[in-house]
Amino acid sequence: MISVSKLLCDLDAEGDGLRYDAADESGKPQITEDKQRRPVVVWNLTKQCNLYCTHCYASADTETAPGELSTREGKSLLDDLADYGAPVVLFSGGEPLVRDDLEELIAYAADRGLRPVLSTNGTLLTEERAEALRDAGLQYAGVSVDGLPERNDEFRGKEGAFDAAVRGIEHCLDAGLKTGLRYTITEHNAADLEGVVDLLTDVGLDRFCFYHLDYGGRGTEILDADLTPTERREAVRRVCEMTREYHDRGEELETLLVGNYADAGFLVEYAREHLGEARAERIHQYLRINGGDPAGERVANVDYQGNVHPTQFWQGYSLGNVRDRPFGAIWDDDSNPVLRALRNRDDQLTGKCADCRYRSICRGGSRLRALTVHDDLFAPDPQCYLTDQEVGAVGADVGLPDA
Amino acid sequence: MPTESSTLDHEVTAPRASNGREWDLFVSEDATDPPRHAGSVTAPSRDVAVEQAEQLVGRDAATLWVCPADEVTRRTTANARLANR
Repeated sequence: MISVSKLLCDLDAEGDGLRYDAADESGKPQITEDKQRRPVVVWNLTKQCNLYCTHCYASADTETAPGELSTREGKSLLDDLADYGAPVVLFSGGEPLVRDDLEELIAYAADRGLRPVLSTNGTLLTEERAEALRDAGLQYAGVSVDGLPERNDEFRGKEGAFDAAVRGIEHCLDAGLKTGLRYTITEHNAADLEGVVDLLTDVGLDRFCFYHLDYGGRGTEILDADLTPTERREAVRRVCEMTREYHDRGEELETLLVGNYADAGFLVEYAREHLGEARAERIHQYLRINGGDPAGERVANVDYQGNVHPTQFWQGYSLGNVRDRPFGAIWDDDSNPVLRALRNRDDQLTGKCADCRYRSICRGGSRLRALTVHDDLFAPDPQCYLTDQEVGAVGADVGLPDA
Repeated sequence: MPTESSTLDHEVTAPRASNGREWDLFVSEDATDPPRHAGSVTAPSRDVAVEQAEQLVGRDAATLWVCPADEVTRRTTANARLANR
């Protein structure tokens, strides 16, 4: 995650300690330094969902799939994660609210010292459920909305999904839960970006996470809806502009970009053009600490059947299963060639990544997208939109991906 | 005689995939070493599984085994069960 509001507008946020080792300079409570060496763990509690979204990386379905971890097994997994020192557990799905033991598991995670956060489509967030989640110790709810009402409902396969999600957001805010938006930018909804932010800031939301499409699950079936490099660059530029405009008006909007570390290089370039060299260098320094694409290192995924993946989007490859080995044993297994490759990727990246001046703050971006499109774990991320001049490869034969 | 806690009397029968068939990968980087478990891929057929395995773990492999996970019997001791840890 790259915090645009932190880097461009100095907004203080609770995640700064994790992302930029900036806990000391923050006025907000921060996750402790010891835990930053361990991954944030996304746990997909279930494959079941009440919606059927076009881009779902988990290929969620309306029916329960076999092999879900039970409540007891889930608590053992949380014990594993707590013992290992994971700082955050993101409860996800499917739709996690279809499980009636969600609050029990969140309370257990909180009791074990894990920071429980939630990713939901928001449509099942009743007033009672939001209060129960708060009482269980939930620290943050991220609600997915992917466009203005008509577009969102089409994307999510259900009429009324937008309004239901907004009601869910309102219930969370009324319950005093920190709440934010998750928005996956595609060709279909890029135009709605500012409209959705305007609409939801009126509701009271102040945190917006913009995801790039990753090529996992049903996401691989809509590659033609992914943005071209030119469109992506423009969308990211608009997120930067919008963030600055809100802050210029005195509204402390928190905005983040997720899932494409070409954004890191772009932010440095954007800052150099609009905010000056000194600011650009400071941002570059923050992004070096952030460390680029986190797959296999600072983010991990456990699916509903207990399979451990390098990221939540990479469901087609499993490192091992927590029913067979504890999470920490799987994650620390240096004999695994995929983990080794992800963790030592810097010198193996090829094409435009090999000599890119932003390699240390990007690390090649999504290895899953590279594998999906190029059949090569070390090929450039097809979503990279930085120009030859920006990556420092002027004169080399390393052109932009096809627009 | 093994003690009760060391008896492999629990069989893990839960599936590991629902979008296709799961294939366990075993890799050795030196032909003198025994192949070692290197995760698994989800794939509809053996040929696709082998292709995926080669892309993921074949780079430095001297030996690669691709084995259908549903043909593997997973047995643990009672203490090693996730629910009992």
